[in-house]
Order: sequence, then structure tokens, then C-alpha cells
Amino acid sequence: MIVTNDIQHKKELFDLPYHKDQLEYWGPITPALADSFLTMGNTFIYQYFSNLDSTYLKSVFSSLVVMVQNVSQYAENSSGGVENQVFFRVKDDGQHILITTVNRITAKDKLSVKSIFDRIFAIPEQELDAEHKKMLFTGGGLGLIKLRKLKGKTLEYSFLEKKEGQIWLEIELKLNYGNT
Amino acid sequence: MEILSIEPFLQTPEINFNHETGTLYLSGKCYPADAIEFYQPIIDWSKEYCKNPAEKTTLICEVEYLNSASQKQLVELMLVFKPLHDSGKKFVVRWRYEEGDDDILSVGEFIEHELEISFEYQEVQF
Repeated sequence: MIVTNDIQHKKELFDLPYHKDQLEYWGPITPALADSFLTMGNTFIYQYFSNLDSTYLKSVFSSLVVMVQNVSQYAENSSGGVENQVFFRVKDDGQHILITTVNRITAKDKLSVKSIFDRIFAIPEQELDAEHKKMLFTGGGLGLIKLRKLKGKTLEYSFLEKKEGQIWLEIELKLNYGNT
Repeated sequence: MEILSIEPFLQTPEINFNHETGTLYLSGKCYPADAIEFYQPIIDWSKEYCKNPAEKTTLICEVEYLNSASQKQLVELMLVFKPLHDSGKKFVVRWRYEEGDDDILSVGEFIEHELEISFEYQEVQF
């Protein structure tokens, strides 16, 4: 059971327990792999949570698309600059659906990523629509604004430095059942 | 000029742009990883179409999912038709969105207000 041991070893390294009620991916990412994960994610969300409201599930899946494609795009744009390792997870905790992404970023990018997050998180809720419209026509990224516009959610991010120069960006979105 | 027809795939919509009838139909999920690559032939076809358009042009956008990059590409597509609209030719966008999907409704409203193009909104069920 060499393969099983290898997976177990990797999961232990990153404190990733096994759960039957979640979908996860751990490894390098390419646009094609991101697409595949999203296709699986779509099936998982609509089948596993089929008792929940379809409008809610649509918001969950749209959020997953934003988060996974942002990470995939970063990995593609910074190829060679940082080890391409990501973790995606969709999980149910009985009251919420949680979407988590973790990816390696360069030390150089940490400041600019943080400033983007700080700026988007500082926008008052009532101004998010105006910001969305502005970004739509001026070329800025829309993904984080879309996540911030969700109702009944908790959106958090953090940086984790495991070793010197090895920085992980973790983003977690928690969506209350039926309230988006 | 030929009809532009693209079959829907997992993350891309069906496209059927008919230069003879002026009905340009885009329908389905729209969240390709590379939205620019997907939309480029559609934008190119539309530029060619605008040189000799039908008497009335109706762009039907029936979108179930729309990722951020596709929102921007839809703006690029609408910009192609803006001169047609401004020159007095009949051009209308029929924006169909899923009942209760305020996100996609608001994207349509943003484009309508910014580009001053006529939009008709219809709630549909996917």
C-alpha cells in the first residue's frame, strides 16, 4: 500500500484529516486541473446538498469558481516563481458550507496581495455595487468583490509562513445555509 | 459570412449567432478558465457582422453562471455593438437570468447603464 502511505504522509504533513462529507484537492494546479476540480465541485455541491435551496447552491458554486480560478490564475502567472502547490476544499459543517483554498505565494507578492485584500475588505457594504461596476469597466479584479457581496457569509484570509520564504495564503469562505 | 455556432461544453455556453436573422444567441454556463480565448472568435465575428448587420439585431444572453473574466468579455462584446446601437440601427439585448439570481441581473444593469444600450430583462428557469 505504497500509494496509500504516500497520501497519508502528505495529508499528515498538512494536517488534512479524512472526512467523507467533503471534497478536496491537494497538489499542483493547472487551468485544466482547476476546470476538472470545478466540474467535480459542481456535482458534489448539487448532489450532496440537494436538500438545500438551488439559489443558495448556485452562490456556493459561483464562489467556488471565483476562489479556484483565482488560485489557478496566480499559479499560472507566477510559474517558476514559486512552487506550484495548492489545496482546495468544499466542506459541510452541518450549518454552513465552507470553501477553503490554500496556495503558495512568493514573499514579494505577499505585500501586494495583502494590500488588495485590505482594500477590498475596507469597502463599505453599501459601496460594493459601485465598486463592482467600476472594476467591470476599468479592468480590476472582480472575484473578491463578488465574495464580499455575498450575504450571510464569513470571509477570512491569513498568511502562514512555515519556513523562511515559504508563504501560504489561506482563504476561507463560510456560507450560512440558505442565506446568500 | 457564416453562422457562428459553438456547442456548449462543461464551462462554456452555446453560441448561435445568425447574421441573416440578426438573432445572436448565447446560452448556458460561462466560466471558462481562459475567457479571452473563448470570446475572441465571437468578438471577431461580431465586428464583421456590424459591417453589414441585419435590419434588427437581438443579442440574447441567457446566462446560468458567469465568472469574473467572462463578465469583462461580455462588456467587450457589447462594446462591439455600441456603434451599431448609437447609429440608430435596431439593437436590443435580451438579458435572461435565473429567477432570484440578483448577481447576473446586476451585471446586466451595470452594462446597460454604463454603455446606454437597450436591455430587456426576463426571468427564466434553467
